[in-house]
Amino acid sequence: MNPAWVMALSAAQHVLHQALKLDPNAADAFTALNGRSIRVQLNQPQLSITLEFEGGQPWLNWAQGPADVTLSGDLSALIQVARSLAAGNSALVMEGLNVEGSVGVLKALADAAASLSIDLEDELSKQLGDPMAGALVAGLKAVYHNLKRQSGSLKAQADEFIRHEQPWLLTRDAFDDFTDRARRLRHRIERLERKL
Amino acid sequence: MTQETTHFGYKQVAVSEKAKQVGKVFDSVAQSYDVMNDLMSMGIHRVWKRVAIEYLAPRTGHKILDLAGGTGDLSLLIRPRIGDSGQLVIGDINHSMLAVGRDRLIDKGACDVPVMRMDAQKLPFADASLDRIIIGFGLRNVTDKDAALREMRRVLKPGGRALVLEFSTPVFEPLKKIYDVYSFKLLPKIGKWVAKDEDSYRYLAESIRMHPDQASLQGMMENAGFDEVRYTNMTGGIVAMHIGFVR
Repeated sequence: MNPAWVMALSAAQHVLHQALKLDPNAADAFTALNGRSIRVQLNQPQLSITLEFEGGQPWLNWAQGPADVTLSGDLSALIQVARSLAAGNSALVMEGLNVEGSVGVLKALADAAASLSIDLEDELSKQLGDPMAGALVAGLKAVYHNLKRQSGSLKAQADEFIRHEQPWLLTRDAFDDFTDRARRLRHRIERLERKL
Repeated sequence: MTQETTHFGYKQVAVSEKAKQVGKVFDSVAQSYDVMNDLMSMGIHRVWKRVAIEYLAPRTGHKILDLAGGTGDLSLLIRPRIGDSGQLVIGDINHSMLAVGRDRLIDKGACDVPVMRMDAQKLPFADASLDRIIIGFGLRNVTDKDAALREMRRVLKPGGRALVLEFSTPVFEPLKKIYDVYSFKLLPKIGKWVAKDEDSYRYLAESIRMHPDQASLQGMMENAGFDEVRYTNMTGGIVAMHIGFVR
């Protein structure tokens, strides 16, 4: 694997561990998964990462050992599933992803993730004091909700635009038909030229 | 009676003599080893070592051997990653290098890292007792590299990995020429000016050229019993990292 990927993976692991430190019960939550591993194989971009659990902590591994369960698919499908899990939906519904191996491990991961309670405000309070932490978290929440509202509005506008423009948009069938006719016409011209 | 020989740089010496000769080189360079590493590599060796540690992936609770660990710079990067439940050991055949490493670790507050004199060809560990082994810029000085690799494989647990960080063969032809000029003309001069030891640094350059290239070392590791071996070149192949996995 490319050294840049390995370094990026290490940085991601550091961030993950720092985030989990914010929940004192995180180690207990992941204890049930000790010794288990989940591989994520992305087709686009081509990337394979294994999430291993040891000592109540998840570890990101670039190496290809045996894994209890393998998820394979596109990055977009993975993000969709992660969002769905974060929204509290079932870990057994994974549209767009192929799952091979023990689904029970995924269920255990979803349960562990659901039981996490990462209190950013508490950690910031220790570092910056209550008033500053409160203001900072309130600001971050406002920005998050604003972005969420705007992205929802953008999506609705894009849907509306596509619905409105649909009659004028070229469909795949129409485009294929057009290229087919153009090709036939070119062949007829070539034959005519040869006849002449 | 014919005596079995091996290379010591470009010279041929008796097998029994090589360890002594290498010992003399490292006795001579031990005190200035880290300064010289910085000078010779223009500090890039620090990047190589940091990247190597990420490939090694030490984790909390791991038992790790830093073989040919000498002045302890790799150990200083590993120690914070294994927590209090882990165990790191530095092993080196050379007493002078270990003395520098031990002092350095104590100075940096890593007082719980045992420093042990050991021969890479006969590791003093039980079978399947370690999670990780790293040997940084040490394998080329070992007399019987195959025996050392077999020993590394022997002491690793299933799921373990050994990482060999070593100078190798540049893959880019123009770089090879620049590297040759640098190694044989400039490096011994730097050694003479800074460490007052031209011969030792000439040996270092020669030993790098005598070391197996990337594919050969990969084959040697596979022959030693590693289930999977991969390598990654750094700085155009001047340095390569070989990682052997035990399944």
